[in-house]
Amino acid sequence: MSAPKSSRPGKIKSYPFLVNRELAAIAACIAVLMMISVLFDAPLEGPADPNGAPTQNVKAPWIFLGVQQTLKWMPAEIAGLVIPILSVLVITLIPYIKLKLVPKTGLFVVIMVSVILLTVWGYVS
Amino acid sequence: MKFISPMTTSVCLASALIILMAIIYAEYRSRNTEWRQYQKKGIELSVEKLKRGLVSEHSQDARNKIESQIASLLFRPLEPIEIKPFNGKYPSEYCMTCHFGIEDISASHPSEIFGCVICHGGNGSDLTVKGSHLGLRGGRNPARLDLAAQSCGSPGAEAGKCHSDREHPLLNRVDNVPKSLMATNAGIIGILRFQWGLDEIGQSTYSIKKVSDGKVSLKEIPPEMLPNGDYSLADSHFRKFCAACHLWGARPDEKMGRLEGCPACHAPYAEGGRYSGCDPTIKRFEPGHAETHSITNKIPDDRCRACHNRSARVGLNYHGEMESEQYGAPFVNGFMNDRTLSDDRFITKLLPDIHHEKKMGCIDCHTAQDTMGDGAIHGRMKDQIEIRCEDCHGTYEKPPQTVIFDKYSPLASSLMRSSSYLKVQEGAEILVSSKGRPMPHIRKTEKGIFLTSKLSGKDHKVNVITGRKNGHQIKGHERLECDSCHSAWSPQCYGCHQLLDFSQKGLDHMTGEMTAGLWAEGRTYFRFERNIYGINSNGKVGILVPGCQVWNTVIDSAGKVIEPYDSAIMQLKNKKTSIAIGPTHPHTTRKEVPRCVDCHLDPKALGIGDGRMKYDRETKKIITEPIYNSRASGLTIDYPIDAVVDSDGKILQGTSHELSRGFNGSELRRIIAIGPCLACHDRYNDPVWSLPGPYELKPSCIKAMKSGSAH
Repeated sequence: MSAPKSSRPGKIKSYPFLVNRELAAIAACIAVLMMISVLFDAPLEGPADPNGAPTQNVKAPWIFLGVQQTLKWMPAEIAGLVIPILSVLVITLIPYIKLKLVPKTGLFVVIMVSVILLTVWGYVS
Repeated sequence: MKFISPMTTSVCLASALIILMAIIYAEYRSRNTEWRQYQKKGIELSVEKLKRGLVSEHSQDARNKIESQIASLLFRPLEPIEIKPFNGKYPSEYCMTCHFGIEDISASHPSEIFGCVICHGGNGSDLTVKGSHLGLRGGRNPARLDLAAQSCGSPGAEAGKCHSDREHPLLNRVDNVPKSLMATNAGIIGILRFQWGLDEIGQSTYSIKKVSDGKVSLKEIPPEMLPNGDYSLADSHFRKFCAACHLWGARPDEKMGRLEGCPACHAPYAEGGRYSGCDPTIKRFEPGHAETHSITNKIPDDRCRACHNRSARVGLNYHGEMESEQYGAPFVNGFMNDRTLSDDRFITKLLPDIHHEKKMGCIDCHTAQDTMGDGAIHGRMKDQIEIRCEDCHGTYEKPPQTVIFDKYSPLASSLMRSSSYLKVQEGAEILVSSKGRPMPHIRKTEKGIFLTSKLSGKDHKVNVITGRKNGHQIKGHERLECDSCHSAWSPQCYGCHQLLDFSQKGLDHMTGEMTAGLWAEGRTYFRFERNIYGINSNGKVGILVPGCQVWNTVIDSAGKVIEPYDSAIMQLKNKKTSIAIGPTHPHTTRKEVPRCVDCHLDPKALGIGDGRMKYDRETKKIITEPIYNSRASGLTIDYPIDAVVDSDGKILQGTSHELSRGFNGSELRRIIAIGPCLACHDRYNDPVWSLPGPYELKPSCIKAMKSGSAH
């Protein structure tokens, strides 16, 4: 396959290589989420009773389950602000930072696996 | 496109395919939702029901109406059904979308107005089975006693103050019922623990659940095994035997007619606990359901009989039924007959209560307070029951008491609404119970007293005995209960032989768990003819029946008897034993009464045991020759099992109720003393019996007896 060469040495064009891959990844994510959505009902409970006793096990939407889990054993400022912002920041800056001890892919995988584990933990706990 | 790798292409194609499949499946699900399937089935069931009604309908107008309803249902589109409870006062709910065709719980609780969530809880805005039932109260039964206060209306209930915090405390049924005897079983527990030697007196301090009325508090019945390792036979027996019948009992697989909480009495029941209404979601071949999703205040007798078929057995007696000796005879086509109760006990048909014969039901006599309590904790049935024979029929001296019906009286007007048949005019004279509470179904008119049946609406003329000299005027008989003479028979179950077998497991009805030890029981023999008399717990002369005459046997897991429980008689705290007799009201009322000699000269009636009785002139004592020889029959007692006292009035058996006892020596002598008079004066209306006692043989009597003619 001969690809359009970038004018900058050591680089390739983001289109079509990256964009195509990202489009495929987006399509795969949508497919997986749609399958999950049609096969499994959302774990919603009945409407909360404002006058009733507080429910002990209220769950956040799935995207926040990991954050909610960290809130159980860390101060709210750390778990709710510092860690999420830091994680997003690190992922965003990975291409631009030079790491010697940890490979960039490794760092990305560690963050993503941590998020997934926290989400699953939050779901089952 | 040459820049796209095969991998990327494959991922994109696979993803597109999955997305397409997901969309198709989502569309399929939306076209075949659970609610569509249920609603379709609900429409079919409703059409079937209407068609059944069409077959039996002869009026053309009514037939046209039914046919139009059927047509309307058949062309009805499947769609979500929205209900706005109380004109939108509460959030909209869509329960009827699935529960299409379900019966209104009652005419005063129309689903169109109440909706479902007010009573059942749940999430009415959801259209999935799982989502809509989130937060459901009590599964299929929101009227369990632990939930009724919330579901049926306490001050904190969603619907407001329906059956609590009412204008009259007796109307706070959801608060009163848990304190009533059918919920506490305090009477059963009290007598059981007393009769098995645990407690000093028969007044219970225990209940099914911990409960208090502010004055009396009852603790929850202890476990079989106490923390110190002691095993309580009495508590085990209660938990595994008696506790099968109480309003707290959870019975998901019930087949004997005993439902839980309010539905135990108020819901209709079909054989096997099967539902046969039009709700498409309720399984029709599953036990433990009411017959339909409905409740009524017109409680049919079978609801009472579901529990009241053992012990005093009043539910059976009233209908003229008595357990037979269980041979299943006479055989039919070579097999045992099918005259059985729902638990397969064989029955004998006897003379029913005249009130039953006249088509009156249990609730025509028994009031709401009799069954649901009055908010106070009672230890005895006699304390909770407010109806007495005299309340309707009066006494010889005193007619029934009445009050003027006031339609603004919360209690009277509410009681009147309990049956659609009751129509009482303002200012009418209505009768009151022995506790002075109004009974609007019984009214006094110029033509006499009439009772309107709450079940059928039929008017019954009430016979009032006040001033009627057909026996009621006899001196000394004012101490008799009405049913002492007017009971045709009583269920006498002699010898209660209990076996606790630790080689098997038994169901603890309180916890629903199977634990070591299965109880079984047998009897010495059954009788129903000729009543036994003594003094009951009201201090009146009443009927006594065995209750209970307990011999306990306990065997270990290897089948070996655990001493001393080898047909052991329990020793009571009051120095008596577990061989006891108890007072009862048989509910076998008849107009006809025994002859004078049937009581005054019958040793069984006198409580000294069935047999031959003669007067010994030398010792001037009554001597009896009992028919039943207890010792020779293997029983470890030295008196006949049907003898409460000996001929001198010495106590042989204890009684399960305080104050109750057999006749003492003085009473026996007075009763027997008129024996010689009965040779001539054997009619209730004999003028002699209008004279004050004591009665003595006069020279003219002796002369008449010698000559064989009247004097």
